[in-house]
Amino acid sequence: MSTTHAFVSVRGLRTRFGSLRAVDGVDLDIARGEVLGLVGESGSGKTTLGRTILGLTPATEGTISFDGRDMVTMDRAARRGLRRKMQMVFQDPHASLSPRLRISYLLTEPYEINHVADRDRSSVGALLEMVELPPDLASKYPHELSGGQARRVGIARALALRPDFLVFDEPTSGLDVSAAAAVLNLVKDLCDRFQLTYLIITHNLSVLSFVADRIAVMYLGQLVEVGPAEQVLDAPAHPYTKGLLSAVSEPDPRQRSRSHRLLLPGEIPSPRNPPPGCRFHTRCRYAQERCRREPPIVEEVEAGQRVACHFWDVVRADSRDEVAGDQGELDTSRPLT
Amino acid sequence: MRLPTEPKGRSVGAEAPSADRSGGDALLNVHELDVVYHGRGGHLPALREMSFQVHPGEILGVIGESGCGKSTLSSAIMRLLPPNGEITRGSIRFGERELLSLGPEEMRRLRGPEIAMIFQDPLTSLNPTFTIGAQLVDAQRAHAGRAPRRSLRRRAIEMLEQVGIPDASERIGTYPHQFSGGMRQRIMIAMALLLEPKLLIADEPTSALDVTLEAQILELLRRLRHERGTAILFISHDLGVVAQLCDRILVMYAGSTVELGDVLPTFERPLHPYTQALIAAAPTRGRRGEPLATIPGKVPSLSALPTGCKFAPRCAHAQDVNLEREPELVEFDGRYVRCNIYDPSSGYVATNELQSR
Amino acid sequence: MKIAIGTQERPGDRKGLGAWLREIATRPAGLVGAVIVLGLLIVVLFGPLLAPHDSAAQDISRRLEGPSSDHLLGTDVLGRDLLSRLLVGTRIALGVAVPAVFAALALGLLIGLIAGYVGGWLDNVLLVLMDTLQAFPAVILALALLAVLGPSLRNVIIVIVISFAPAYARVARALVLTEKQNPYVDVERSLGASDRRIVTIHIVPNVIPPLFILLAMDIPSAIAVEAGLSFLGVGVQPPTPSWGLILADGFDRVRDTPWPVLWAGIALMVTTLGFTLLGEMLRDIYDPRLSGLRRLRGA
Repeated sequence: MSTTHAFVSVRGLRTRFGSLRAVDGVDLDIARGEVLGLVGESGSGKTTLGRTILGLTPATEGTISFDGRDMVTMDRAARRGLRRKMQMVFQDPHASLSPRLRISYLLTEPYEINHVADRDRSSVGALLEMVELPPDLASKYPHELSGGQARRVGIARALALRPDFLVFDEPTSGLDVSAAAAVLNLVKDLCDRFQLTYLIITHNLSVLSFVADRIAVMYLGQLVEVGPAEQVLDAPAHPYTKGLLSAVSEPDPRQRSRSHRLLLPGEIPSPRNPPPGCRFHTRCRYAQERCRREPPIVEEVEAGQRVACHFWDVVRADSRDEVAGDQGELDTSRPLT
Repeated sequence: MRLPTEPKGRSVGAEAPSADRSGGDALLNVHELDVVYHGRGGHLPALREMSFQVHPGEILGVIGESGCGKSTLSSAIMRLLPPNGEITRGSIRFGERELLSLGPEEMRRLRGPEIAMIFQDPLTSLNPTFTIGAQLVDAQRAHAGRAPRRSLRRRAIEMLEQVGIPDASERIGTYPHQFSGGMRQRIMIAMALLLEPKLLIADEPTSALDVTLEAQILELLRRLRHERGTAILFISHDLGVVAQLCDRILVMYAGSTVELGDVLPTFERPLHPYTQALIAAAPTRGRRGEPLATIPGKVPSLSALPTGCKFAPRCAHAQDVNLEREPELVEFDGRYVRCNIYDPSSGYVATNELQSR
Repeated sequence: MKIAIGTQERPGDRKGLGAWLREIATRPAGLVGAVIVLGLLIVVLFGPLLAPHDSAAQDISRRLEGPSSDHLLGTDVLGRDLLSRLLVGTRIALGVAVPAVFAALALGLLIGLIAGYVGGWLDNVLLVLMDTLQAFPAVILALALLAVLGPSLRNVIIVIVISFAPAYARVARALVLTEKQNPYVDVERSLGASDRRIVTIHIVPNVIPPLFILLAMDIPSAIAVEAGLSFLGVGVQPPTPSWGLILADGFDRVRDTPWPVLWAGIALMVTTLGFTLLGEMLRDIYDPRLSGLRRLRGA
């Protein structure tokens, strides 16, 4: 972790809805220009975490700092100004666009709302071009667009106010293979071009393997592992991360025998009633008596990688062995005829 | 309970989909099937010359993006097309019988004990006002004649245990909404397999689930196939799932088969440019960090299909001949592909980059 | 995680004029309704001009006659021309019903918006209020209100507004609650939109169309209410030619001459039919039906 303050910094964050503890004690830093992937099953609290950071859902406890400034103690006007610089692209591409308004209106509205001076505005054409959409889309209504197009309009809207921080909630959900690939390419390209900072929320690690610098794994409101993408993907130290990885269906038939190992059993328990001790112990093949009694503390695995597991060294050693045992993977990068 | 049979799908060299064969070993033999939808403006060709076979105990994956006709395919096989859908040509043979010549009552008797189907959204596929026990018993009652209720209930509980529902005997009296999405999907599978069908049609059954639940369902399907020898027609848009589960794969585009073959060679050396593009576009850990290949253009609307090869407008290897001549499904390298490149009679001129053959 | 279904139309999406005309043209029942309503509108606008006689002119010597060459539909108990009275009565019928139902929609919309969007205790209070109003049988409510306010055309309108508004309020509230959940509301908020903007520009346009369909179906009810109240004597007062009054007068003498009752009854029936057919057609066009072409894109 760098010593200069991180761009987005969260400490002790909790978000509760009555008895439901969606976010239950999260410490997280996101560096400027970084792409952080947040992964976990539905019910892990990842979407709530994203929304809380952006202020769409009020936090129950904890601090959120943006560029070194505490969001809670800030005065309202400053906070509102800062909020414009953080935007979210939601999961359902069509439901995120107001259905009765034309795309051209939707793309100028952010400027209208915030009384942005003409010289600071990007034209509708420029915004559409930024997300690789043809200019004739401007006169259409949201329902006339495909899922991929609607998603790009959502991205264009989020970019209109020149934000510094973007949160993507399941960027490829509801999209076909090629549309999903196109969106991921675009997202990566925009990040490089405008030096943006991203938080990408997803349940599918293969999306993150392509685009993330660091990965945070969340389970029942808490982070169980955080670290650089290669390290987390190649040698995960937490059993849940291993489980998520083995669950991904890789488009490579030769990896079948591999994925049969370590299938994550059962389902995620309800966040209203998390298991005692280590919350993951009910589905963990490494679980021992200790895991039932004692919640694990966060430990550092190596530089930049942290994990919350009593037996992370065993888990990690296993991961290393598995990687070593793998044969060469299918090289699908070569075009074939 | 049926004895496990050897899964048959690993044959090298798929069977010819032409009408010359009598059907032979195939459990399901779809031959040159055409389906149109009648709309206010005219009719839309949803399926064109669909031909393929499913063998007993085999898992055939049907992969395609939205608008390719996958859902129409499953509806057509089950003879459950909407009122404005019509099968205009072709044949669907199931075992010895021609499904298209069956009356509605005969077809109804087939659905359940012979062919069953599971869908993407288990919440709307299960009746929310009946307990799952009632629905499982009811599904049997329609075909089991006068068997006593107790034995039907016992079979239902066994089936629930088979699909991994914990405490099945207690939970059999609960309602669908009291289960999670993953559980409901298992219940739907239980209901489908209750009557021990020979063929299970699975229409995107895991698309609404998280990867972890999806992996569990795939494992369940593998196990059930192994134990019962049920053949599965698995329809999906997810290449990864098909790669992990299926023995053979059928790639659909614009209502037609463009490639059909065993899964490993199809992934290692895809023939059709569309298949190649799909595989190149799927993110995989082996190629981390490289930009994903995308397919330019859009899937053609069924009301405005181009002449000639339907993929030609988006194909990097297209030549003029492709814009005029719709390719036939031909055999190549033990598989089937609908592409002028592989059809020597097409007039396609092989270029240097294609010389690797 | 939904599967992209390409460009699938959602309910009530903006259609061009051409699309609307096409939809109307394929629905013969709705077309009939539209024609009837159009005809009624013409009568409303030009009624007195079309009437062959002055609707108030009495001619006792010609009372209670059947149809004749100068009184096409006959005369009533005071010798007034029935055709003229019915034509002017159309103005009353629609002139009461249409503004009243629109006002009910506006009032209901306002209440529903506040209840749905603001929520909290205000929502509870308004709900209880609306429930109480709806719990009264409409006739009792109408009679009670008119007893207080006094019978007149204006008060009949007020009565209709008060008894019809709760239905609109409930529908509007439900729609607002649904729209509020949509992600686009969050998107607008994070772009900095004020509540007022979200409600007026984004939510209201999605709430109004279903209410309009209710309106089309409510107009015949309102006409019936007005006619009924006038029939009972507590609505429009004579000599204003409400259809209800024509019915009432004709009722006493129905043995001698059935014509007033017949024509007034037919007028009511045709009007109700016209609006109902029109309303049902609007509802069908608006509903998310899976017609052949739309379903196809989900293949």
